Amino acid sequence: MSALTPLCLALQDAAADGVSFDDPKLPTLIAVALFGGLMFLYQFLAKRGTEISIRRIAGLDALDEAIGRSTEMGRPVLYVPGIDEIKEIQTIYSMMILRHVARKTAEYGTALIVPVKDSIVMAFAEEAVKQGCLDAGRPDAYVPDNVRYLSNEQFAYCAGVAGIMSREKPAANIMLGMFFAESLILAETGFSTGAIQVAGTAKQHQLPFFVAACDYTIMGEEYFAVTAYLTREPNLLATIRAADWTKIIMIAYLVAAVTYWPELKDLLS
Amino acid sequence: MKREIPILLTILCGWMVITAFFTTGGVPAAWNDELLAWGVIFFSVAFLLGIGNLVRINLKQISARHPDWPYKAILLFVLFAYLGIGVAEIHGWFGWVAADGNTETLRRDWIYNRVFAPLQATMFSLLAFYIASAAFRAFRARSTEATLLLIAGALVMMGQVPMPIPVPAAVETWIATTQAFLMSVVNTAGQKAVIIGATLGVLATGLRIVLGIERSYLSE
Repeated sequence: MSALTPLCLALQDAAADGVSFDDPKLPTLIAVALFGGLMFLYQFLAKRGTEISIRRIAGLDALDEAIGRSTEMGRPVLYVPGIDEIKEIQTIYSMMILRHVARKTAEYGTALIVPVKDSIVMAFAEEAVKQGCLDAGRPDAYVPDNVRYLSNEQFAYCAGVAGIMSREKPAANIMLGMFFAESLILAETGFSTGAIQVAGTAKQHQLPFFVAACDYTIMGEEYFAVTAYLTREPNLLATIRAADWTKIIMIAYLVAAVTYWPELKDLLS
Repeated sequence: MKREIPILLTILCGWMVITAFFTTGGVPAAWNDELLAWGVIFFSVAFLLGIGNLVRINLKQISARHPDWPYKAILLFVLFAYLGIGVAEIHGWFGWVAADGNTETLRRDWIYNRVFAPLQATMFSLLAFYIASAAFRAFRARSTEATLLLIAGALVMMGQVPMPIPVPAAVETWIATTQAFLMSVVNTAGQKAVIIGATLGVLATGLRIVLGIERSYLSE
């Protein structure tokens, strides 16, 4: 308990200060509440049997095709989860997709190599791959040495991944997560090895590089629809539908703001 | 319980951070600071996990006489040598201290700045060649979309670099205006669309995790 004493004292002091709402963040709170409300509405509708459809996303369909191609060629699949830390939501999401990819590779008996830049991401990746193999009913397919920590430095990691691409010649390179300047180096190296490449990120500055160098690109919001798309779980699909409606409301607001700004400003103030 | 406790912790921590974001002062802010401090400690300790993984995999390959085993041996040697030098300098062993308080005289800084930084710059400089090769493929006019991309790319490029041959002032002005339009209107509009979509995706994912709807990141 003595270790917790400083925390208790800090909380006691903080409680004495009192909490107040941060007024400038009210529009953000309204947007989040609106989105949350829509999400619950669509979840309720989904539970009552309303079917929520999702459009075909070529990049996501290509994941299975890429793994199948690797299996046919008897070569490994390379999964690069980006270079950011686990606190980045794109990295968390990448771990969820990794589990699906690991399940598929385990089902097909194909090797899956996951090079990582961050040691906490490594722990998550190990767990995701292990879980994917368990999902497939093939716990023996998990190879601990294939989740590899390379380096915490951006270009050292990049050189390491490019080395794996050149030496181990994976037939499929799946790059999903947060990427920075290394994106094109990885994508071009992968292209030069003849691998089928599926890349995805919500980082808009790296999208053109992936579009130019990869066979399939999952861009922006598509990236966050992967688990809903792959599992077709109504609860997850409901959030996609809520996001679509929020987008429509935002577009309407933008158009209204541009057209009737003076009146809208008076109304808001 | 193996599943419920992590979900409960995620929901609890998520709501604490969200509350701290929308409020100022008080208990939520104190909890937020505390959680961030814990995060920093976790990240620092986790380095050991990474080193452990690196050593385990490379030692195994060295002992199995993998074709690349000499490189693996060099990697491990450099890893521990650099670690040793750093620890020795921090503790001032062998009289290894910064001369006149100048940290640039430290061995670890010398290695980092004279060996590692140039190697990083070398990797980064490869981008120039990769951009050229990727642009060559992307700009091949095989379809209407690719042709439009080629024309837009050529105009933006001509607006950015000095002309190799003299061109009439009117043409130069037109290129500059078109380039500015493409960059500030067309390009910005496209980027904003991606950003809005991605932000909603982030919000959806965050809420799904905080509300416990998305659980695939946990072992189930």
